[in-house]
Amino acid sequence: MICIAQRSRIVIRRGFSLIEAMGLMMVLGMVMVLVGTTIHRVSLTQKMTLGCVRYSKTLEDLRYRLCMDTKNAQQLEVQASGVRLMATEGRTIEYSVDAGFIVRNAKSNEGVVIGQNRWRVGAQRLTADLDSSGAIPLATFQLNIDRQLSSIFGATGQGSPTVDNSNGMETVRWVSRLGREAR
Amino acid sequence: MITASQRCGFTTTETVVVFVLLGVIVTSVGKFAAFASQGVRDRQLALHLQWELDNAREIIRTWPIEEVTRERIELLAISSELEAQGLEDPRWVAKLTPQLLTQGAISAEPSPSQQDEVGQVEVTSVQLQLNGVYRGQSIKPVETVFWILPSMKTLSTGDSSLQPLPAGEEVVP
Repeated sequence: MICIAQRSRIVIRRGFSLIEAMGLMMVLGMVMVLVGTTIHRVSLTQKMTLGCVRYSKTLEDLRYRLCMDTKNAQQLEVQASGVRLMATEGRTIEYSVDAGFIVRNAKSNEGVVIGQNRWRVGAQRLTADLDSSGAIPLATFQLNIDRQLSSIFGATGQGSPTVDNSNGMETVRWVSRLGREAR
Repeated sequence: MITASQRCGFTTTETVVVFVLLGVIVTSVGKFAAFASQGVRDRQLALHLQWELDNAREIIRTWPIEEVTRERIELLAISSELEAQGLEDPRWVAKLTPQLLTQGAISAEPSPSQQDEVGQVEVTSVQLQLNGVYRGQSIKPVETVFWILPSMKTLSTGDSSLQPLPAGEEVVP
């Protein structure tokens, strides 16, 4: 309410009018929507960044192990569930896909599992191909990844940076020589 | 009569300034989010470039040494994944240089007999670069250098123990 003194200027203004209050609420609403959207976006970005760094490290670790095992192996067998690498000393290394994980089982001569590693990369399929036409056999591994299974970009794979199509699929290809011939 | 000095609300100027400030803050945060997102994409692309380079190195090392030429290297296929990630016009650039290396430089752990044989071996140094254009700019080439030993000429290519096994076949160690 506004009280006006006689013949003079305004004295005190005690509150908002209805229009002012509505305007204020609208402005506040707009501000809250803008800030909320921005905070949500930053939060998503941070989650995506952390997830992506972790995902890259996991993939790189997997690639390193797979290539090292291939270099230490003498034979490569492609199976329905993955690949099997036979090392010189009779040990066997099996890579298989299990619910988005790549599982590495190291087995002794007797077939007993002596070590296991798991990488959560959203793996769907791991295949291998061996090319023996060169001077050294060359193994090519192809890993099909469904980022929605990896859960690092949220339940829907939202924000995944390198997905080449809308359903979140990605394919990576790694090549390694088979055997330990120095070159 | 109401005078400006006695009004309790915001003036138009104040309101405009507040909105401008708010806009600047929201835009800045939005730009930061976009920048971080682009950084993630760049990181992923860098990782795939490195894998492509490692793959090419492994492929080249399986070739018979007399077939390792610059022309053949530059014809190597490049994964379509890179193009899917926005890399345009990817291409290999190779440089082959014959070099003389001492025996100890080649073998990390030379045996005593090798240590006695101080000699030089002619090797081929392969400098391999992967170039391309990303978001309208040429990328800094990803590069690796490796050496190929001439002794590989004697490596047989038909070793049966290195053949792939048919799927499902039992393996007897």
